[in-house]
Amino acid sequence: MNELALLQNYLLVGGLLFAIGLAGFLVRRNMIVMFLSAEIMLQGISVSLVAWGRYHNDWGGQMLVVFIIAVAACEAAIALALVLMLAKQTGRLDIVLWQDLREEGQPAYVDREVPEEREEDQVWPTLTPAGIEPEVDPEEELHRSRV
Amino acid sequence: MDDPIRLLLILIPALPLAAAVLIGLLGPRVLRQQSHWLAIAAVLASFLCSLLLMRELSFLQRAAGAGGEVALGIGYEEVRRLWTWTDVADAYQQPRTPPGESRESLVGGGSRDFRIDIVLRADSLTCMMLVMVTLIATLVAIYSAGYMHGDPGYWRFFAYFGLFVFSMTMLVSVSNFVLLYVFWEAVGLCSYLLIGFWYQKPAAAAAGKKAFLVNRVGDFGFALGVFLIWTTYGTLNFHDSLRGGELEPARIQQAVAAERAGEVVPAEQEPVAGVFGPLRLADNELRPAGQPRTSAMISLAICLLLLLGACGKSAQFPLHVWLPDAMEGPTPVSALIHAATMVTAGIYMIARCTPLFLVSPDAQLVVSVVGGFTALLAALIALTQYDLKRVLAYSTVSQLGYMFLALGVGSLAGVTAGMFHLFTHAFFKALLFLGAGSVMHAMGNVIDMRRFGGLRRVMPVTYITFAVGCLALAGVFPLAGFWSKDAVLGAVHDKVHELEPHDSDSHGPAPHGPAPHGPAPHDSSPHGSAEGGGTQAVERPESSADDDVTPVFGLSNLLRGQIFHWLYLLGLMTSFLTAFYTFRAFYLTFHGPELIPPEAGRHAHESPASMTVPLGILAVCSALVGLLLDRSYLDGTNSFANWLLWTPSLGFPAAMRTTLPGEFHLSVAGWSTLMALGGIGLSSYLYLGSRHEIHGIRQFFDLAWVSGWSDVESFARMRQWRVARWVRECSAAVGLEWLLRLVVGALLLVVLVLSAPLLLLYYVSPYKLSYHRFYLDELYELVLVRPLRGLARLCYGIDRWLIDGTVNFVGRVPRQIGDVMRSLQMGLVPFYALAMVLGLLILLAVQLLG
Amino acid sequence: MDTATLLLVTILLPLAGAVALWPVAALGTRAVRWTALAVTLATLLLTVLVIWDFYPDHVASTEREWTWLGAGEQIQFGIGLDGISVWLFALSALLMVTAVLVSWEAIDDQVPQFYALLLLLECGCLGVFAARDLIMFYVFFEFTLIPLYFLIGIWGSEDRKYAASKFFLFTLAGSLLTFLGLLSIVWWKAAYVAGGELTFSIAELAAAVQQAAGTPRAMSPGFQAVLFAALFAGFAIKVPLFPLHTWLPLAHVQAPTAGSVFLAGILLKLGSYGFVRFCLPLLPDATYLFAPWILWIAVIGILYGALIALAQHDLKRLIAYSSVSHLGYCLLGVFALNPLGLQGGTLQMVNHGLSTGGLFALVGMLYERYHTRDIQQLSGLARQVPRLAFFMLVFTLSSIGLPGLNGFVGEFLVLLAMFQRAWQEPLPGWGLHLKAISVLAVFGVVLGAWYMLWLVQRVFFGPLKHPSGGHDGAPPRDLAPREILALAPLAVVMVWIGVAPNFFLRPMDGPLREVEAAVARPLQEGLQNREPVAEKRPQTGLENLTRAR
Repeated sequence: MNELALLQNYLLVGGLLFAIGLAGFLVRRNMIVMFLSAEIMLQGISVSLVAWGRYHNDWGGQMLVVFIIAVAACEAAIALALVLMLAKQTGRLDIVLWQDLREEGQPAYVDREVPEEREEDQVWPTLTPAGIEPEVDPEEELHRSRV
Repeated sequence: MDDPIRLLLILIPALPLAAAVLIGLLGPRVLRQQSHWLAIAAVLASFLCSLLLMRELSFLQRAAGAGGEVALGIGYEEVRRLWTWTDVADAYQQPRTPPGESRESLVGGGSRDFRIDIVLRADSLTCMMLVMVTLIATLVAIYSAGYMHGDPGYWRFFAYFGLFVFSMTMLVSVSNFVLLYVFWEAVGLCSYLLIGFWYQKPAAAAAGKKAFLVNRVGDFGFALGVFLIWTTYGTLNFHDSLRGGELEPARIQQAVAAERAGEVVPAEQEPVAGVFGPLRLADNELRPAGQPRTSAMISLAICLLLLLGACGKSAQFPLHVWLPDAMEGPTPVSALIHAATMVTAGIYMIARCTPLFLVSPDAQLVVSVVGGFTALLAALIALTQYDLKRVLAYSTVSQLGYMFLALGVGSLAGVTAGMFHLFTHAFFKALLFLGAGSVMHAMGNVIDMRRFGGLRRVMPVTYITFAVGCLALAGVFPLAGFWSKDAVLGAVHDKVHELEPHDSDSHGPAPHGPAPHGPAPHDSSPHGSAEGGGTQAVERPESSADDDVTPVFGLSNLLRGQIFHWLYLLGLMTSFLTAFYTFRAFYLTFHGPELIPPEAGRHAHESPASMTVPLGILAVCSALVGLLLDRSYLDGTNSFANWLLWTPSLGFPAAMRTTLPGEFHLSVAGWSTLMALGGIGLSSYLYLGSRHEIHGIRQFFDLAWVSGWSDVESFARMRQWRVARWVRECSAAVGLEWLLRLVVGALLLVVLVLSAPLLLLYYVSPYKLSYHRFYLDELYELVLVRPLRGLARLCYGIDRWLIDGTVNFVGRVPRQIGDVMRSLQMGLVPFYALAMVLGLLILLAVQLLG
Repeated sequence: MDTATLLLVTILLPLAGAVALWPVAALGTRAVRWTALAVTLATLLLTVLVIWDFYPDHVASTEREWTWLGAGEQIQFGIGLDGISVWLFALSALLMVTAVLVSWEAIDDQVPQFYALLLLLECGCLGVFAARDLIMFYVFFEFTLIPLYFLIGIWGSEDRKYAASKFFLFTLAGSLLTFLGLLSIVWWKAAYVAGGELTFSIAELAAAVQQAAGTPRAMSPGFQAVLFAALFAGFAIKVPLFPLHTWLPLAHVQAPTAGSVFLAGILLKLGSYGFVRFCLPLLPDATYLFAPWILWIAVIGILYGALIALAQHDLKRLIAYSSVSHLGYCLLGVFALNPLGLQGGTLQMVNHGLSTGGLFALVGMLYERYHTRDIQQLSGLARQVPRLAFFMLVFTLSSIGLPGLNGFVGEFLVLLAMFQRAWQEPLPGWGLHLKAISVLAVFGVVLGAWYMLWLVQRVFFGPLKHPSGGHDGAPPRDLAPREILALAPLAVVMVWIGVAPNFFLRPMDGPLREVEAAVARPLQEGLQNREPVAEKRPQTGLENLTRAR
């Protein structure tokens, strides 16, 4: 496999990642999912940067990617905090609930038909039990609740 | 002062101005009811200075005539420069003329300076006007002291008065078209201020405005004329000068000689030939600077535009409407400004511009026609007015028309006759106005002749002096009006003969044909000695001077002769009417049963001495001035004309070739006297006799008999006639009532259609036309004032809705765009993301496809 | 102190005064007013001194330049006066005294701010006329807008905000284009003329244009036309020329008296001054090309403004429209492109500033007394306020061009120049147009007399009438000495210009002749191209007479 083919494969992967991210960002309204999609797009770019860097024998690409990862981490922290804040205020993660920056006098977007939430869809993830619940001294528990 | 002429020229206008300024400053606080002393003193001093100037000038003229050094035959002038008003060097650069020609152009090569110096001139015309103006002004000032006594605006009156005398004296003594225009407007301003003197009276305020505006229309023409003169002749000065402003004749001669010799002179020394300067006139070189640009068309245009200006100021036909309204001002003002002095400014201007008019016989014809027509029109209007001052105002318009008629004749005889009439008219018209003022004063400001009468016992001095004025105005021998009117008619008469074909002897030698050329019949005259000395080659060309001139209208001499003949008859007719309406006013005022309006209270008395003395002086002048100055009946000498011919713009060779003054026309005099006496006689018969006759005549001219036709009731009465009743009954019996109605209706219709013009005539009957001043004011209101006001309102509408609307529309466009764009800002993150992606896609597409 | 320093001090003094009003404000409004008056009087005095220095050798101008900003020495802080600007400069200083005096009692709200803005405005106007550098000119040109915007917007009458923003946006929009145009000329000079360093000096640019004229490096006519349009946009709105004038009546009606006085007196002149200073010398070919069109616009403006003035009932609006009419004469003179017209037009700018500024001041005084500007509600006031009526008459007469007062000199020169220009052109084509223009322009004088005299007649003459509830029964007092002091200098200068205009015209001659020289080339070329070939002129009668002799 020559260098070019290698590059192509990497770029393909990067492009796919970007496309998936883009599609996710556009299609979904869940803030966390949108955030994840954005991250995926970022990663797609990172992959292509690394690939180009390797192709050109230039460490600049890798260096940039390291930067991106660092920045993305920071960004993720802030973004998730924001998302949490917003979710706390409405109790929902729907991005469309936040339209306060629209022009004055502009009608708000309201979902005309909200998809029904079926019982069977509300499947909550459950954690697999791991080990035995430790015995706790009730006094100690009382004491610990402050911590 | 080593230069008396300069001193006098400055003093004459400066004294009244100083008086005006002093009265204006001190009047309201210090002088108050004593303001007149300053004004009278200043104007009197001014008058004395004018006399002195006249004396100085006559000495100089005589010396020049004897010595023969100054270019003779083109008159004599003294010019003095005071300061430079504007000086725009090289204002008008024309492509340089070929070298051969530029030697003759005398205006400094191809470039001309717009250099306007404040230059005062002394020549015969100016002196005559100065003497006349200051004399009348003095008398009127004395009179006003009595007339205006007790008026709250006493000081204001005399301040304006001084300002007016200043402006008028300057008007006649400046030597430049621009300054002429300046003072032309300045006298207009004074007239405006004085007409509106009692500004609380709406009529007075409106009349002042009207006078100013109508004069502005005239000035519009005057200004255009001045501009044309500038573009045509390259200078606006009357006098010759050097480019540096030097006026000394000797230096100019020297410079001209140098130019002619082909020497290169410095720019300062280049001679500039004034429009009426001896340089141009001596050579008959009334042609433009540099390129020969003028054509008959332009000469005509210049003259007609100047005429328009003169018509405004001198109240001639299309623009005469302001003068009768101007009678709202105080009567002394009417006498001074609107009868004797200011209104003659137009005459003065045309007389001054004789050289220009001489080039354009068509323009002269127009001047005469306008003058003759105005004379008749105003006389017709004056016939029916009841306002004593208005009668006099129309009479003034009419007499000014006479002067125009004379000026338009174009010969020297005509011009001097016009000026002579101006001179005499100033006396007797001022006299009449002051007399009317005296009546008004006594009658408590009532001026309607129907409300007073028979005043000859109440105010004997006014009565006698007024009678003298009336006789003079009517032109009865030997009062002043007789001589000047005879001169005017004689000049027109001569013109008729001059224009008649000369080949046939059947006419016999024209009795008053053009004066023989060669030396004039009196040795003292300037041209006489000039021709005797042979310095001027004034030869009579084969044909008369007019034949050389390209006509624009293309009228044959025969036709022009006929027109002048009609004008002559018109003049005679007018003189009849003049005598009639003058004496009508006279009889209505002073004869008949004594009638004094209640406004007069017990004040109906003769006026104080300050008013009667000027009346007396003026009466003496009106009686004698003609007899003293015009001695043509004795030895063919008209001292007035001889004096006037020293004016450069009258005494130049081309003018000398026209008919000269000095002929006494016995037949003309006879006819005009006959007319005058006829008018007086008719008037005496009608107004001294029973009132029925005059009523009958008035009803006849009012077409009262037509009103019988239009009376509807007469038809109703006709229904009652026995015949009518019988026919009706018969037709009813036969059952043909409908037919009868049809026939009667048709008959009525026919009668109505036939009499419609007659009915129309009833509403514009001769009497009504005259009484309503031929509806000219209404016509102007309808044709000019209202449409213009409508246009103004229309423009304002356009301005507000269309233009400002467009502006506001343009202002609204960005906001509208913004409004559209706003709706995109919907606050939805997915939408923004989508927009970004779409934008990216578009960019990509462009990148890939492009 | 040399003249240039003196000039600099003159310009900066009002600015310093405006700053000084800050601490003075603590002392009360009286102190503020007196300080403002003192500053303006001092400025006037300094101006007189500058002119005193300048006058004897009026051809030379006082100049001082130092680098202001920009790499190298490109944008200079150059100040100086020449004959074109000197009288407008003096007029600004003179009118500001009037403006301060007329606001004495009329303004009792936020007085320190008001006077500070007035002084800033004065500084701006003085700066515009003294600027010798393009950027500096533009900075001052725009700077004048800001104080006036606030003056109208804060102290104006009921509709002030609309008027202020309209005025501001309208004029700003135009002047931005002007700025682009001016910069393009600078760019052309740098790119095409030998030794092409960047320069913003007006004189150098003009010299460069002159030098390049007729060579291939000269601006192409098309380029000039575009630049001319750009310059025209700003200046024509400022003047204001006919279809672009609608901001003017509005701004005048709404502005406080001092604002109107200064707006009419000085700010409108910036436009016509700009034409003389920039369009003619820098874009001579385009000027020649567009001159007939502008003359048409000007004459339409003259008649149109006069007609609309005839239909007005609001005193201020009437005078505002009369400004539209009168400024047409300025442009008529300037675009007649001959020395007479340039001098007349430039003088007419000063004349209009004097007469219209004075008229606005008078209307303000009337308004203070009668609380109305409606002509129909007033009549016969000459009885109650004779001195006011006297000044009104004098200013009116000056405005309608009565000889002996200033208006006549300017109008006469302008009309004469227009006539002369019309007569230079051969008859078919523009010759006819120009002749029609000159005749119509003269007719405008008649209309001008009509509406102004009618105004005087309606307001001051006739039976006395004044709106009820005017002054709690007591008749309004006549002019106070302070007000006479505000008006009398204007009247004196009017008479001075009317009687001895040469004093004012002489300094203009030199610089205007240079301007005229710039346009003379295209004019002459154009005339030669249009001269019909070998036309035999008819001869006059007297010529024949001469020949016969």
